[in-house]
Amino acid sequence: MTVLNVALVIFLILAALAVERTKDLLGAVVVFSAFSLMMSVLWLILKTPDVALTEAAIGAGVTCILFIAVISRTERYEK
Amino acid sequence: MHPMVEWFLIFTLFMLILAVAVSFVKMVIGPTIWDRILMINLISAKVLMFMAVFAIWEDSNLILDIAIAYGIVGFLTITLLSKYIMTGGREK
Repeated sequence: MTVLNVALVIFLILAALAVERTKDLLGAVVVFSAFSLMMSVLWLILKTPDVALTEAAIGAGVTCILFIAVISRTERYEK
Repeated sequence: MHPMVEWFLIFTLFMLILAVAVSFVKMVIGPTIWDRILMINLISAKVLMFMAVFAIWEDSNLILDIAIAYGIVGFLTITLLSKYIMTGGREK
């Protein structure tokens, strides 16, 4: 089970770097959604299912919708 | 639990994480937004399966509730993103 834990943490680091490197902000929001999903699975493996439920509902759902609403009113590409 | 069943469940968990890894690579290098939406849909389905198998392995009902909540929320995100792009977005 430790191998799974380490693999998920490496995923998290790669996803955070990818969010920072992406120029297309809408694509960055999608990658951030994947980051939040991995985080939810990691909370599940660490035996805190209530935090995982909150992370799945807020991190992957509400935050992405808010970011899409902001991008629809501002620029889509980073200058 | 039978040891054979337990071994099979752990093997399934590792295979699902491998599938997520391959999809993640395509999502990072994906040139257009369509690749990324397709891959987030795939990763969402894989994580849902992961949660279901993990719930059987841990023998707990609460994890299955989280899987249901994630199914609804993931569908909402992908639908809103597709709808935003369908109306033209900022790209025109």
